[in-house]
Amino acid sequence: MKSYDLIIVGGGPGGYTSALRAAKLGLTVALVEKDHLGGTCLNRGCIPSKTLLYGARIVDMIGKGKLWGIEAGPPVIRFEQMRKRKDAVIQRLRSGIDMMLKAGKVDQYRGHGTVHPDLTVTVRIQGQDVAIRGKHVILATGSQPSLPPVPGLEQAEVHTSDTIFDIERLPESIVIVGGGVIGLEFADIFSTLGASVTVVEAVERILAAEDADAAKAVEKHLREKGVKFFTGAKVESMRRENGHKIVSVQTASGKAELAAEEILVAAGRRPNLSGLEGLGLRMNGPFVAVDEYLQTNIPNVYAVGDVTGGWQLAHVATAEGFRAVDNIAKKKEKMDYRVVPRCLYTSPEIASVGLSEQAARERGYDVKTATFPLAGIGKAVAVDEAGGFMKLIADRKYGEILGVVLVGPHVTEMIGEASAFMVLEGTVEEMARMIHPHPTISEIFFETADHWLKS
Amino acid sequence: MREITYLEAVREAMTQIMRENPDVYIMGEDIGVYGGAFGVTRGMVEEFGPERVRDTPISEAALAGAAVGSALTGMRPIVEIQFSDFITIAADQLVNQAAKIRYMYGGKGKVPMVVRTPGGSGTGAAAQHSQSLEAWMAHIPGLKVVQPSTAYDAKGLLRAAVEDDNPVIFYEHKLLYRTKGHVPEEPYTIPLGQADIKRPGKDVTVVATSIMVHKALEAAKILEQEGIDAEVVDPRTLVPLDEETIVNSVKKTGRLVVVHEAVKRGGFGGEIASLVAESEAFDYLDAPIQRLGGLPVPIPCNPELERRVVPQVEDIVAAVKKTIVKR
Amino acid sequence: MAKPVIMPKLGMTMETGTIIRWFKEEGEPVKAGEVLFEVMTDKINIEVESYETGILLKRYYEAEAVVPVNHVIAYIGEAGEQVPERPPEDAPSGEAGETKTASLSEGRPAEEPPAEGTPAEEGDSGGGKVRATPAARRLARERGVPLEQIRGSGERGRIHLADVEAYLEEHAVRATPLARKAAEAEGIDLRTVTGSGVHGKIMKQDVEAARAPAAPSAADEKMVKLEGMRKIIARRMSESAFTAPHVTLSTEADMTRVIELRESLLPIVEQQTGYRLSYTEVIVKAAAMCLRRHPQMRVQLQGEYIRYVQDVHVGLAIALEQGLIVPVIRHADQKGLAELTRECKTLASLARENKLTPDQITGGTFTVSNLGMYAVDMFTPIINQPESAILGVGRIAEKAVGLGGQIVLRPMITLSLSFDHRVIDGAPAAAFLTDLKRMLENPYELLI
Repeated sequence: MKSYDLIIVGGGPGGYTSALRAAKLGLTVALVEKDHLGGTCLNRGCIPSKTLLYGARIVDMIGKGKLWGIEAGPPVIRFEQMRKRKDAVIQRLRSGIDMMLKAGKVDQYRGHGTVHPDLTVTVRIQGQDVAIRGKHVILATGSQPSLPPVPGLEQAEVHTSDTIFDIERLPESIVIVGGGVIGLEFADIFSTLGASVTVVEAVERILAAEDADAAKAVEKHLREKGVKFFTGAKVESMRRENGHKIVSVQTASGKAELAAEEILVAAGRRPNLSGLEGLGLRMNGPFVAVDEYLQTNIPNVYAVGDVTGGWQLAHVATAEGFRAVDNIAKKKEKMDYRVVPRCLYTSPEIASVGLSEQAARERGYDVKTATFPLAGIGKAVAVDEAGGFMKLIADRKYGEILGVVLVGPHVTEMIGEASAFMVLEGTVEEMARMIHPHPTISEIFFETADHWLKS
Repeated sequence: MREITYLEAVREAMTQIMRENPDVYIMGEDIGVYGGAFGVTRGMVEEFGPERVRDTPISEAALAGAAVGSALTGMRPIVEIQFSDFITIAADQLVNQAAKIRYMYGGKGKVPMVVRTPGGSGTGAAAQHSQSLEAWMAHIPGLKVVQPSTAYDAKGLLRAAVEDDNPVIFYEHKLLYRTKGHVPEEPYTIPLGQADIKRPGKDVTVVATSIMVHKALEAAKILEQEGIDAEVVDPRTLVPLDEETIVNSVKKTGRLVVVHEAVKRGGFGGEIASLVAESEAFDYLDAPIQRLGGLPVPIPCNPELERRVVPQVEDIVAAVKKTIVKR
Repeated sequence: MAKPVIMPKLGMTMETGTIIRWFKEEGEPVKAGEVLFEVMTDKINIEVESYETGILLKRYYEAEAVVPVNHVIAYIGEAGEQVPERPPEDAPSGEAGETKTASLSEGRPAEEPPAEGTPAEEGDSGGGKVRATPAARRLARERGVPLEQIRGSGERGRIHLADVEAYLEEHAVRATPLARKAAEAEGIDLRTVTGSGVHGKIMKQDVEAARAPAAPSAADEKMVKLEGMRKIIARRMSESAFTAPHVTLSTEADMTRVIELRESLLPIVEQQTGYRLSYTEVIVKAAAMCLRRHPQMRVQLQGEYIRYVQDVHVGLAIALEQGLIVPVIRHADQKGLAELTRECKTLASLARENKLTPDQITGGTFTVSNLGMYAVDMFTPIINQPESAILGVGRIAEKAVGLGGQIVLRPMITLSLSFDHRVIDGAPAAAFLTDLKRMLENPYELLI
């Protein structure tokens, strides 16, 4: 049986990145992956969605062209080509990862892995069982879309994010169950590409996890595209009727029957525990429980990424993976979650990092918030995207930056500045003093900081 | 630009100014048909005639005295003292008359004369013909003292000296006469009291005069090999001295080496070192100031000994290194 | 001419020294190299040699005097020489004499004495002259770097600019803007803070950790009101400690025979009472019997009177989760070991269940406090007022003792007797303790 210093189960953003890092630190590493490298992120999540979203942005731009005196007729959307492009991008990135793993001398075991308490892993490769032993194991098996127990759901043959990217043609209409980040990105894609979209959300507002004002801005834009929203709506049942799929919802104002060509369920994700049953892992609800050092209750077994719950973000999985590898190979340190940026790629984009105003108050900070509209930023007006804003949440005592929310174009690229300030403990004063290039959207940083200082 | 010797540059300066200004004439021993002990005035009597290129008897006192008198009465004499050692004989006329008259007469009357004289050792001329006594002249209020190190500097500075309404002692160096340099053909002036940074650097300031400028530049080349970047400052005029350039240089480098051929004891180097120590540059000094000068012995006749009693390139290199402390 | 003796500067930061004692009197001859006086700095005591030979003409300061460094404290010279009545104001220049010391226990080199007439440097060198170039001084001055702390790499230890620059680089305080603000607001010197960030960068949390715990920080500390038993114990302990002058005597007793005794009685007592006999009961019994014989230990100060207590009621300190309580075993001297065992165990049990009555915790004559279940030997118990003595019992540990010219291993116990010196003196207390020790070493005496 081949022995490794480290076996990583799962080749997604939590898994393959740690494998490369561990190999670089001199450990012998095995990576077990039953499907494609890159996990959900690359194959069924981040990459395909952002690729399609960019397509949506191009459609938007063409539409806006007449403001600049550039006339082009309504774009012809060849969905199949869009899908092909998406596939090409995925394929390219997948082989890139494969190459990196080979170059990093990480052994790959492509099959379903079962982890045993003695830290051996049995991998089923093309009908055969191959067993390997590890001194340490990192579980990075990720998550999958969860389907709520709605009667008729199976018969309705609903889509999830796992399947929606491979649909053959653009549906004319679609009901999206789930008003969170995944649901809304799809709402953006489909409505921009011409479908009639209805979003159903169980709680009172969409994007409940995001800043309320940010959510409102996105909602406004989507409504302008014709997206209909049903919030505070409970899905009672689903069925097929006359070639349509029907979703019955119950809202405060009564019942509604929503009919569409397709249904997409984006109502949460559950961890992939298949192959881990025999370990006797302590669980934290449905997720694998880990301590601050990312260790499970089993010595030398760590877990990172979606399988442990938490942020459910690819970059968090990667960061956790790195931390786990460092804890194994170098000095043990706790995982630091203080600066985790999160992004929504709708139009306008939302990017935020740190604490919300309320969370900051709850922690006992003396909070002062300042908001500055993009309407005051020259570049935003110049490119006709002035509907966003920046919110700066800081502690009055030293001007410690606690959280930043950005809404607008390119903000997902800009949030790094806010993260940097927080990691390096720059305060609002430094942010107000730092020279930002003009004209850029990023000037919103010093404008908001200045506004914070003066208000 | 053509290259001429230091000696030719001096001659050219005198010739050009004498062509312009009829009040300028030269006096000295053997400067007429003989062309001067070192050949500086060769050909000049042919051009200007014996009234304006006057041979004198062997009496530096008379020579200097006559110059003072003629300067007072409107002429602008250039006096050549054959060996600078003989300035001793002219000293009373220079120190007690030339330097003092304008002051004592309350500004009525001036003594616009130039005393040109070659100093320095290296020719085997021994004790009485090889001294560097510029410090003595620099000590007298009322006298200006110039010490050019290159042909270019010599021509421009001599013109300025002649144009100056004060008595100026112009120290040439015997060994520099044959050195060549690029010298413009047209007349030009280099103002007195302006130092020249012959080589910019950042690690140490070497203030050098006359022939030591050349040795300092050679030393700088050697030091460069060892990663030490020396700045060589040539004051050019000792009185009035360009303090600002020297002080700024030391502020920049933090280290000072002063080198002249004259005997170290009581030499002008002490003046330079002290004024730097008194100046703002003091707070920037990162090592004690090093002074190099001749040994307090008469210049020997033996060539080996003659070499040994004055600072050489290796002495300058060693002095610079003393100011640099390796951690 | 008389030579001055100077208060030596024995360390970089020393500003004053305290004279502990002189080894020579005024008028006594002194030889160079002989120890002349002893000085205390805040860290160490040092004997200082004389550098001169002659007569110690004058001593200006006596023991306990605090003298600034480099001040004249004495003169040595020839008999009959005149020396000033009072010590000169400042250290004399020139021949001020060396400030080196002979027996420096820490081996730190002394500073050089100040040069003639030069005033002390402002700020940077506190007292001694440091060789440093003007450029080095300027930078050190600008950046508040103490020159004494820099090692010079120039000739004769001269500090050059590069040395100051290197020091600044080494000691550069790297701190985030936030940490700097926090430090400034809290008045914390960043140089005293260890940074946990990259390359030792000081982060806000490091500053907070360095903050003197003024108020408890939200998360870590808990605040519990001083009330109930804790409050009472606090009050009673303070009262006792601050009113009664406590003296504690200790002795060690060989428990070999007590161990034998207990072993043989253990099954019998258990059979009789259902409880296991422990050493505590034996010690209580022995203490009680000694108390009977030492009425001077059974006194209590009441106002202007000393009360001689008749009964021997021995309290036994019981540790509880919330504090401690001392139930009293009445007439302990009259009870056998079995009864004592039963009573001790029951009282302890009641104590832990908070079921003791007031009667059970008052009226004691003496208290025994046993920490022998811990790795404690000697301790200084606080007297349980209004009693006047308390016995602290340590653990039984095998120790090497001398016996008949040999070293043997014996199970020794340390007994610590604290008594109130207002009403009990050392001798009677010592006698009591000696008796107790003897009784434990010869437990047959318990029968008498």
